[in-house]
Amino acid sequence: MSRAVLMERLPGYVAQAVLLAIVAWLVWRGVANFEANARALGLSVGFDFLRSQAGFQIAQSLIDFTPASTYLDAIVAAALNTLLVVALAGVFSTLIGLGIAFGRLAPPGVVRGASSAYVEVFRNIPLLLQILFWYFSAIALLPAVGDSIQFGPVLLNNRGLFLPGLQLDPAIALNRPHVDGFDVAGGFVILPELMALTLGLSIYNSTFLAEIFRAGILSVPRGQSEAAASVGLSGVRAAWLIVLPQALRVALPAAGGQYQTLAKASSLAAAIGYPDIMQIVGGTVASQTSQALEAMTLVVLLYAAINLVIALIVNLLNRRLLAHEGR
Amino acid sequence: MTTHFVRQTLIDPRLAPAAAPIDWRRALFPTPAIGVLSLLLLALLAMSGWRFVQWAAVHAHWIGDSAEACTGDAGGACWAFVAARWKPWLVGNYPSDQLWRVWICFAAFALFWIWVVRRSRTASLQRVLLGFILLPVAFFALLIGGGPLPVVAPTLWGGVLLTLIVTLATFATALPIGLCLALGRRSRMPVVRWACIVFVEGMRSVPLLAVLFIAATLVPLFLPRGFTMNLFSRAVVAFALFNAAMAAEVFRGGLQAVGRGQIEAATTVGLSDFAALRLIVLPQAITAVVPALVNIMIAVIKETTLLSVIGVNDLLSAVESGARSPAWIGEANILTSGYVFLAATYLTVCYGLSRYSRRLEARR
Repeated sequence: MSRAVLMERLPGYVAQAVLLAIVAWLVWRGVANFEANARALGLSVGFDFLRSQAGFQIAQSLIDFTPASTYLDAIVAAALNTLLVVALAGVFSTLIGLGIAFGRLAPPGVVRGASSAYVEVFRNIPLLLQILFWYFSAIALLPAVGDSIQFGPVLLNNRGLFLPGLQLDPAIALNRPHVDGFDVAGGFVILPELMALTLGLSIYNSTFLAEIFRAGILSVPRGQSEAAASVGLSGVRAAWLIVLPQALRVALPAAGGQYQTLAKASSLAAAIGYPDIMQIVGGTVASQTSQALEAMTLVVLLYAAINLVIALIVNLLNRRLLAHEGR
Repeated sequence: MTTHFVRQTLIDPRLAPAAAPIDWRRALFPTPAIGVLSLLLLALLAMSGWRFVQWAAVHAHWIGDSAEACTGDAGGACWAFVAARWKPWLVGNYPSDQLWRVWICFAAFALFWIWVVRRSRTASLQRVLLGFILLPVAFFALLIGGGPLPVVAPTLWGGVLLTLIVTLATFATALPIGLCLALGRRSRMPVVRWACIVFVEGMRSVPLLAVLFIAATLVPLFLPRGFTMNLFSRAVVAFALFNAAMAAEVFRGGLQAVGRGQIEAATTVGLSDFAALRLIVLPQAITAVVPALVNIMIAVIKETTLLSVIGVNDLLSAVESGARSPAWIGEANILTSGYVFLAATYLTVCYGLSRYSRRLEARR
């Protein structure tokens, strides 16, 4: 390297060395402070607590969970609960979003006006406020167990939404929920917390998805739907077979970002006590073990992993859609 | 299943767009399917609108200073609760004899905003951005006090005041940091580039609530012993860093929108790297992303509600603690009224801002 080039690049090298030194110093100070604080407060450090007994109950768990289970089980149960609400809200917000997107593209009139109003209203009210409203104001209005609302085998009351479940033991049968004193026996329950969270997340995210889908639909040239009409496809079939596949191809990357936002927003569960990652790992586990550093590290890693998985799925879909097109 | 390859009947000719007053028949029934949907929607809207008017106006309770005013058999809204607790909602626990400082801040902000929106010609970009940096500093100094003014700790602030200050402080700090991060990501120096990428992508993969939890519970453990930082400041720092990552992505888009030719031309006429950045690239990049920056502001306003989860006294937690106070506890409608009032407030502010953002976009 010639002397002139070295002289020109030297300031850059010095600046990078200084930046590295500052970062290293901050990390070193932070670690030193943490060690001093942890010793003074008598905190233990490390992930050994994962194998000890949790000793608390989780209101809803997709795996077998009792107070005798370990903290690791609690974390798995919490992560599954987060995935459950993300999946539910993802499906519902996509369906609502598609409906609203087509509604906004309808000829001027009631349908279009109502769709636009829906987007403007629910996009501009904070998500946390919507979730709290559904939880404390709307679901609290549901009747008590004794006066449950019944649609076929489904029961709805202020304890939750009771769906019939599949019973494998002793024989395969449909396990219908029924009122039993002050509680409901049998079936599979969707807790009020899960209902409120799903409602809030679905409605809030559907407004953003509707805008993304609308932009995607608008990006499909008009000639496509006109050509579909001229070969005799009805409006609905033209939308389903011709317009939507092309629109989704355009909308998918942006929609993927919105699904990641949804997954992160599901952490608002902590505000209403739905046992998700934030509530169980960042709340209960952190305070019971007083190992906040380890618990929050797990929280951050779990959400990062969920985001990564969503990105992977979206990329796979994207590749398939592009391959379909033969590009 | 039969497949048509040739249409059997002619499509009706498309009518020219009408500029006439609304034709209700066409508004409701452009096609039979939409017509049925319209009628269903109208019925639904009429029903829920009627229920809402019943709740919000006919059976509402307007006057009173405790929950007893709102315990009727009809069960309507409790606007007495909203009216009686105006002070915690606007300013939190700010001392009553010092309230003039808050009013000055509100008035100054309102004037600034009116100037920005109405006098778009004199309100050049530089001046507006300068205002967003200077105003929060001035407000902060005035509200905290010191010197001849008695000191009012931020723990006493609350409600709209706290929401406004957090929004402005976040905006004032997140924008410069975000711009630096976006520039750092394009740097030729690998250490700088990777530091910026790791920070931005790391922040973007974590929920804001987790960042706030970390600021509330973990950060004190990493500070030197004896050095304390109150929850409010930690929350503001968390907000600033999180939104800096969001702003960095916006600025990155703006920087990418400036063509390579611009920088090459600037180099050709002999501008240094820094001068080219300052005189050629940044003005174009920032102008291009102003609507997106307004959208970030809307997001920040909505995000401030998360402060209530970690125990900072924002507008949402003022309403919740109000509904749990001894005078107002016991009636579900009281909390609901508070929520409806809050929803209307946020809706007005955020909808107004989003209209403004769209206007900026259309002007370009």
